[in-house]
Amino acid sequence: MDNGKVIEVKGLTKKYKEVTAVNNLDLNVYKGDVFGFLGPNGAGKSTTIRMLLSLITPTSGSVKLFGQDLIKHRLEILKRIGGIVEKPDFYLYLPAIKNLEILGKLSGADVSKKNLMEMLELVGLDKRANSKVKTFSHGMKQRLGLAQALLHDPELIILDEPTTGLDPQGIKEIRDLIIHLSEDKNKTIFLSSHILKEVQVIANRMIIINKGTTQIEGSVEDLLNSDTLSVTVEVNDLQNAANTIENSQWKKFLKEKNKTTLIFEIQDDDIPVLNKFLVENNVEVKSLVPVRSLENFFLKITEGGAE
Amino acid sequence: MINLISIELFKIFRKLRTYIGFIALAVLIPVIQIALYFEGDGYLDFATRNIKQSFVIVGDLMNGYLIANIVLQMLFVHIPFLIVLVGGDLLAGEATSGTYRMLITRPISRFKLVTSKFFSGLIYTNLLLVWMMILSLGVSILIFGTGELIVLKDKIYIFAKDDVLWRFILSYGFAALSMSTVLALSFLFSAFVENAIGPIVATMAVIIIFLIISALQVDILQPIKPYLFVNHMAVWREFMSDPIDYAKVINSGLILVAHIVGFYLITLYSFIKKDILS
Amino acid sequence: MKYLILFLLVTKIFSQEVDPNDLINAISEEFNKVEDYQVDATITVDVNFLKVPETKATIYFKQPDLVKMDSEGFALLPKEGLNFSPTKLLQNEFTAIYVKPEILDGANCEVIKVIPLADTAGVILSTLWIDPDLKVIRKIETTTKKAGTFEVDLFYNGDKYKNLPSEVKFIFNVENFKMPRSMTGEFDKPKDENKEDSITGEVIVKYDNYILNQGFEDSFFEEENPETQKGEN
Repeated sequence: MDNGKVIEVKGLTKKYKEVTAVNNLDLNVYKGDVFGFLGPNGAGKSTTIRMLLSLITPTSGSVKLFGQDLIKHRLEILKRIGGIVEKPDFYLYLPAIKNLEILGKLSGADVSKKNLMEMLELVGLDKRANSKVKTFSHGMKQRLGLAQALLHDPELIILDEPTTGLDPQGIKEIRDLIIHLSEDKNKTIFLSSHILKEVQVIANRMIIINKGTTQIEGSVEDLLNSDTLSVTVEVNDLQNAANTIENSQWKKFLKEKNKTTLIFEIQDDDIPVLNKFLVENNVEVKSLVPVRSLENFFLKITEGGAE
Repeated sequence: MINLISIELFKIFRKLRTYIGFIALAVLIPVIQIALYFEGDGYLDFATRNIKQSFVIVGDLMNGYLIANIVLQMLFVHIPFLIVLVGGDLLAGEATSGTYRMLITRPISRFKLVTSKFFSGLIYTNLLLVWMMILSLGVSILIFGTGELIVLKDKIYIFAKDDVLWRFILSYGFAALSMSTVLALSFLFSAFVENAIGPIVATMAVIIIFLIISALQVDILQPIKPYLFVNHMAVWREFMSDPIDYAKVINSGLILVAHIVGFYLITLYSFIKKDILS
Repeated sequence: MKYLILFLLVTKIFSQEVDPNDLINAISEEFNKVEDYQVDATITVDVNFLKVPETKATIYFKQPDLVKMDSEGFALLPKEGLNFSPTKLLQNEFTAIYVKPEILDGANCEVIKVIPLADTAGVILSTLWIDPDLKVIRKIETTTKKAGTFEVDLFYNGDKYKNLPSEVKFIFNVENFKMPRSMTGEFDKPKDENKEDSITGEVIVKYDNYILNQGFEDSFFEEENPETQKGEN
């Protein structure tokens, strides 16, 4: 792990007969990252995570974790990873604490009652330790899923859509927990999501994939800062507005002209300037909506992915 | 590995379906015992009708051994149902519940995972047979006592009182081997699907079809009969003969062992190669 | 012609030399000296379809025809073996014909044929080999209406029990045993279509520890084992 890469994926491909679920994917996660793995449903996120955790075998490409080849050093690597793949499933007929005990034993974790209870407390399930999991709500299972992922104190935590199906309060709790794990416990976190906002809030680096291939990769900050905004301006008199723009420096930023709106692509700082220009030139602005192009792009592929 | 097996056994014995077999036997066997208690004389009359034409008989052949043998004879066909209930669930159950993902992302080799499940299944199978032996042999002896055992086969065998128990123990031993084969087959099917119903039905279907083929007296089917493992499963009856054809017992035993190992290896191979998509 | 008459005469004289009735009476007389007895029997069965271990039983007998078999466990005896006694054999009216002398197992015997006059016994003809010295029967061949022919060989250990046999071998016909495979469940075995209907069986009973004349009450024989009674039906 000399280069600090916790996950290094090269040319990863998974084909099922005619369908290519993951296509030549490259991906690097560094120590201490909270890495956002973004993509619409069906983009290949789960397949990638399953390959990272050796649930399925890649058709081609390599997966290195902690600098070691996953296939060759599977057991050593898995000792250092905790995770949830898709939704957290447990032995429904067993109590929460028994589930943790079984999974902990398999991971070589400390399965003393004290430690198990501490874990349950961390995720707020200590009072339900002896309830069978079949009585648990989805949110409770999600939290138990986190507990089992953390049991053996892994260096890398892989979470597959951890906030899916949770209420806002639940989402906040999970987010706080992830931030806590990252900041206070120095864990590397690999987080998949189909919600850009979620990743923006907690991740420092991210990748967006679609149809099994990388679309964008980088630091969240860079991606957001270097990003242009798509600003939709709604005006009362489009003709007047159009004429005004036509004769100004803003002409080159105008991308689209609709019935009542003009769409510009400009930087963050330019929004007040544009607004001022329009007002000074007697164009009545009804509204001005900036949308990040990343978001726009993501929205598009999400819609595309949902087909 | 022992740790893994104990975890698997813990899981098996926390499931309701595991107890269906034990409960079924605990209900069925006393029913048969009670029925034989009232109807057993009729059975014996039938069994000894031939002898009574030429012989005078003293002594009662109605005893625990006779009942234990009838129970084993009667239930032998049904035990596979109880075995596959658990065997078919061993792997498929994890797929159904989604816990495969939890299991296989642990630092445990798939080989160990499959093997520990397989051994746990074998332990369950053998415990079920021990339970059956306790109920059918132990309880029958307690209620009806011991005595000479009459067995109707191609001949009428009557075994001396002190010549019976070892035959039962070996019979049950061989029955355990037969049932382990059933378990191994359901385990194999269990690796390919994500629902326990499939392997349960498939295993029973195979057994029933093979039984029908082996019962059919059709010439073209004769050559394949020795290759049907169900034909070798009932060889425990050989211990209720005199003299015992040990060559046959060993041959059938080895064939069953080969099936068990074969089923296990195929399961192992396919499981190690398997993409976990559930 | 003279020679012929002489020959016939001589034959007649020689053949009449032994009176079969005398022989039979002598045996009955000798046997009647035993009021009752108790004996340990060890029974070995050799019948093709029947695999039975060597069994032990105690047999009780009282004149003229009371008999009872007792066993700790299971025991079986040919019907002819249990109620076999010279008295019983000869209690109905019969015609006896002397046939010839014959040496049987080194013992001089007289062979006689006995034809029952009454129809009750189901016996058509019996041939007896009688040892006039010991006053015992050494062999019986009986042809019955139903059970075909059966043969009884009797062996004596004269010093010990005088005229009571120490070993009896029964050779008889039994109906063969055919079991539907649906009963035995042995579908793997081929059908035995060419089984004979009737086969020969052999039972050897060794008698030991005779206890004579204990004075059994008749009632002792009444409390018979229900199995035995059923068996005799």
